[in-house]
Amino acid sequence: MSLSLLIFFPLIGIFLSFFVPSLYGKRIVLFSTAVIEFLLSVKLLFAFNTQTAALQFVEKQEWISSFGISYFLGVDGLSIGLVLLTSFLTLLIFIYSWKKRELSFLSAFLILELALMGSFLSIDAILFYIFFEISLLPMYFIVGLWGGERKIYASYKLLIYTLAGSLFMLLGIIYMMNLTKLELGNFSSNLLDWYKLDIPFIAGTLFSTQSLLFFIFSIAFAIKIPLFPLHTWLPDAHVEAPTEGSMMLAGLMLKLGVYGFFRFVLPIFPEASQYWGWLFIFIGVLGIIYASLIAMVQTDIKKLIAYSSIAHMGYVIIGLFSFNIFGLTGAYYQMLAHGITSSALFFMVGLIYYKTKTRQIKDYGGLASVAPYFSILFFIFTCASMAVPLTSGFVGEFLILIGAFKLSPIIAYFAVLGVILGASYMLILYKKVFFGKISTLYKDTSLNLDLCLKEKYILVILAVVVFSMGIFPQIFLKYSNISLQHLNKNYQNYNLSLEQENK
Amino acid sequence: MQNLFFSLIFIFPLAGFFINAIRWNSKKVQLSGFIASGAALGSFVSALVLLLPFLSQDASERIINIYFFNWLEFEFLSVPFGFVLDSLSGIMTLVITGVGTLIHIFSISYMSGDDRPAKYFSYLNFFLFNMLILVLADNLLLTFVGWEGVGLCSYLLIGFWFSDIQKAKAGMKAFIVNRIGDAGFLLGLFGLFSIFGSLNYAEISVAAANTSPETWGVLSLACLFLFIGAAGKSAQIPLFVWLPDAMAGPTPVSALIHAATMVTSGIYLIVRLSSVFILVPNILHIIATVGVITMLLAASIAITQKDIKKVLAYSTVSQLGYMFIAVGVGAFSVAMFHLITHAFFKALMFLGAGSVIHSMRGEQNMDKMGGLKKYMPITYYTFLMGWLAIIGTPFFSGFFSKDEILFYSFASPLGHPLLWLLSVLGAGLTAFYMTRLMSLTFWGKEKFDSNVKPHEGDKFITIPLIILSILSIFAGLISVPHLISKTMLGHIPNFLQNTLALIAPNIQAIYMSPAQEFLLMFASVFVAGLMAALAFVFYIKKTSLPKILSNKFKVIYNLSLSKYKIDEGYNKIIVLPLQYISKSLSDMDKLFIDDITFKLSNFVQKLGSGFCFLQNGKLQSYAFYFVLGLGVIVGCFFIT
Repeated sequence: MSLSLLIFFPLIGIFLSFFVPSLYGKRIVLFSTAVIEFLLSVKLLFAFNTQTAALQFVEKQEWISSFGISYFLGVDGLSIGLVLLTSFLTLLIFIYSWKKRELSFLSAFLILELALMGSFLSIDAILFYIFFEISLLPMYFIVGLWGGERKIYASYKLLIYTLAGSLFMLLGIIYMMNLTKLELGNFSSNLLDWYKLDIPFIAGTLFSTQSLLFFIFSIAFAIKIPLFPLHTWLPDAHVEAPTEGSMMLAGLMLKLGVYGFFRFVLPIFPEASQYWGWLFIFIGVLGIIYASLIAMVQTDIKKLIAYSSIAHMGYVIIGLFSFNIFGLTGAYYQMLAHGITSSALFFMVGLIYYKTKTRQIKDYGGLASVAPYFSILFFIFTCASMAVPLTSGFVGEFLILIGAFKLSPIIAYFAVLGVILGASYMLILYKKVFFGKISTLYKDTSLNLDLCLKEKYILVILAVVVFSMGIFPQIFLKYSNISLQHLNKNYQNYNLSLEQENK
Repeated sequence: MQNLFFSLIFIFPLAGFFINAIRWNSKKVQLSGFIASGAALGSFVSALVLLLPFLSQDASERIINIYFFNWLEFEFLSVPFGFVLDSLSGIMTLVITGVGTLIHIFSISYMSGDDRPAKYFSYLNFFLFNMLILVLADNLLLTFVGWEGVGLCSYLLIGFWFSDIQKAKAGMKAFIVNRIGDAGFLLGLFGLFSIFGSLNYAEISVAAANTSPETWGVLSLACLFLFIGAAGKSAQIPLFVWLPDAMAGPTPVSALIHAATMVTSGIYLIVRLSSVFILVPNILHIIATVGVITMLLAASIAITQKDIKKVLAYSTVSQLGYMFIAVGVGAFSVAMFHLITHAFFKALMFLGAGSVIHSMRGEQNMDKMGGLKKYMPITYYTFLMGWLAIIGTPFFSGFFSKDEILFYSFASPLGHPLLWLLSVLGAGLTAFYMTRLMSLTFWGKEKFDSNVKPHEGDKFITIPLIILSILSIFAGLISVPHLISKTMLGHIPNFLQNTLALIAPNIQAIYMSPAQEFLLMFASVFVAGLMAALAFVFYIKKTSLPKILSNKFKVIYNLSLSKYKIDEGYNKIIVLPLQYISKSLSDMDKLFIDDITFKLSNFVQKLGSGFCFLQNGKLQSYAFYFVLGLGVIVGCFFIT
């Protein structure tokens, strides 16, 4: 099993499609690329050893040796779930749109997939940075070319805002490489070297090396997540992005930020993370309440769901910084669950928008009477979003809350408000769109608003995932458990060993 | 074998749910109804098969555990899909599935005109399934799963006729208000977990016996949060506002969910954790106080309501208040006793009301009824039994259970004479509003339009009514107070108290002589009788009196009629400010936070254009800069 193949296979697919003469043939090639990529990641999952926290399937090549930069790939419990989520969501997107969309659109998604895979599998900071940046480019074009009315504005904002974050990260990376030179005697961007560093930390001041670096990296990732108050790019980007783009944004791009906290911030800056953790927990709690309240008064369905994403990410941050196994596992699980739920919700909003050409809540009403299947599935994802037990949303939220309570009950007292507010905005939305009198918008049209067969398939698959994640969380947690426990126990002097490559 | 039957308790309703959910489009009401009723009955029979051997077993052996698989598993948090059938959950299971079956059968006729019967029955079965998870769970978190599940079903069923936006709103309100309670439940759960290190009921009650007094402060807080959860589900102050609105749902749903089963789960939770709650008397005082206030408030509202279902809804809130008084004074099995009898007579009355509404073509206003006695004899006579039971006519079920609560409110070490006095007052109010309901609906003059032809329902309607009325009469015999059993009925063992003695024992009451006890009993029966007679006079004999009185005491009357404007108050104090804040935040997000980034980018642009003049393209200027720069460098050299 080669991780390089997993990363670069989408590129191979695109390349192959150049040599197919017919348009339909090209589509088939691109579609099969997504399918094979998914199968490859499933194969990785089966070959994955759940009994170790070590990096598996490691590939390492010297790249720019004078700076200690290497082409270094590996997978462990922190990344395996995200790898699967990436190929899974990309596959669903392809099932939906492989016949509908332009070839360049499909290729952009494959490149996005490549970049995301690369980011999740890189163990070298520079390599990670490169993939991290590459992921921005296809997204920029997806929003800017295929977006809604204000697509140019939104794509610009997305690009500049997140680039600003990346700039911080680049700064941090260079600083870190200098530190390795000082402490280890040679430049290195290898994460395993970074874990070994003993970065000077002085409690009580912001201007100690570790605290500064901690904030530099945190801001870079916080923009991506996005964390209040760095979130304002997200609602615009979501509203203007095409359906598939919103799915990728909410489902995966935001997770890059969370992943960054797992892979970089917590293990590399343990003292600073612990010392400044309260600040992030405060921001997380504030973000939950703030975003939930704003979500309640949104008039645009997509914007409402975008704000709900921000609220959910607030939970994730609380979990990350509660420094116990419940919080960490909860954050990880919430991240995966949110990837499924929010992309499903965005997908459904996109479907209905495609038919009615409006996202304004007030234009809707009584949809449950005319589109029963659509309503049932939307309700399932609504439940998952408001964390009803036995759906995917509950496990993460519960673990995060219990983790927060263990850290300090006060946090849980405030965070639990999100449980109430979350139900409020989702049910208000559901009531206004699905219940009541049938809106004049589609009362007299012959338009079939309900799902077609293919859409049903996609959504039922997502619903099955939602329920299995809610009922059998152990199956999903199995893959990340050891790694998370390892992180929880040893984040003070974190290290990852390498496992001999499996045959 | 045990495992099989235990699983069947769940499998029946779940299968019923799936079957009807798959054929949700079907319009065949009888087929859907039979599937669902069969599922409920199957579940009832399975529970019965498991529970019958209990009768011959020793009290300590009356427990069956079943374990499916681990839901969550961490170092020291382990939450299995594990269930426990003991006397307490067994009784609840029988009530839920038993009353549930009758209500399913009733629904077959009631929903006959509806165009989505399969969907209705699938929701109903799914509700049963979740309710069974709630009561049979062997740990708090699994109870919470059922807890949220029944809330969800309640939401779906209240808003079943969702094309009416008011009904959809009522469902939403129920869920959101319940969510406030659920948040409390979660916090209480975290609290108990941090104290006892386990969520399993059996382990908690063992650990509770050995707690040191230092933890009681934390324990009090956890119990208070759990009570908030219970108050949400069981409609107590300040979270009771959802229940009257929940009457928007179909009437059988009101009978099943909002009278007999779901709303009692708050009581069940506290009784299940009685070993913990008994350690924190300060919280029990709060519970009893909230209970008695809720009881009186709801009863005083019920007196003036015109909608028959609203009267019953407030009556339910009020009766739940009684149950909380019982747990508040430490009389846990008495609370269960009233829960059971109430489930019978209130389900009976809701179904009776449903039968009336059904035959009156949806009319719910009692001012447009009257004299129905002769048109609907079976409904009338069965309803009469419910009426006799709830007002506490001696030897009807409600009499026994309510009297036990009154006794403990006086004689428990946690009780107080004032508590007793207010409870008696509540009993009087209950007798008044229920007699008023009877007078306006079944007795007196016919006030309906001549084109409405009230008629008795078919056998699906009447059979459940008859069975429930029999239960309402005799259910009291399962727990005859020692006073009566000794002096009047020969020695009947107190079945319920003996059964629950290990799980939810009553607190030891202060000793009172039989004469004192009889005096207490007589006082409450007297007050109730008096108030019932008064209501009879008001609404049958001198029908002009209510009008005169209501004009005279207009302020009080309007206060009760408008339900003390509590909904409006919440709207003003909570909902509107929250909306205002949200709107302001939303604007701030756009105009301030987002604007900062624009300011930043504008600043950079300005900065760029500020230095723009330097790059003016004139060769001479560049040469000038060059010389200037050279001068500076040379100057530096000279200085150093």
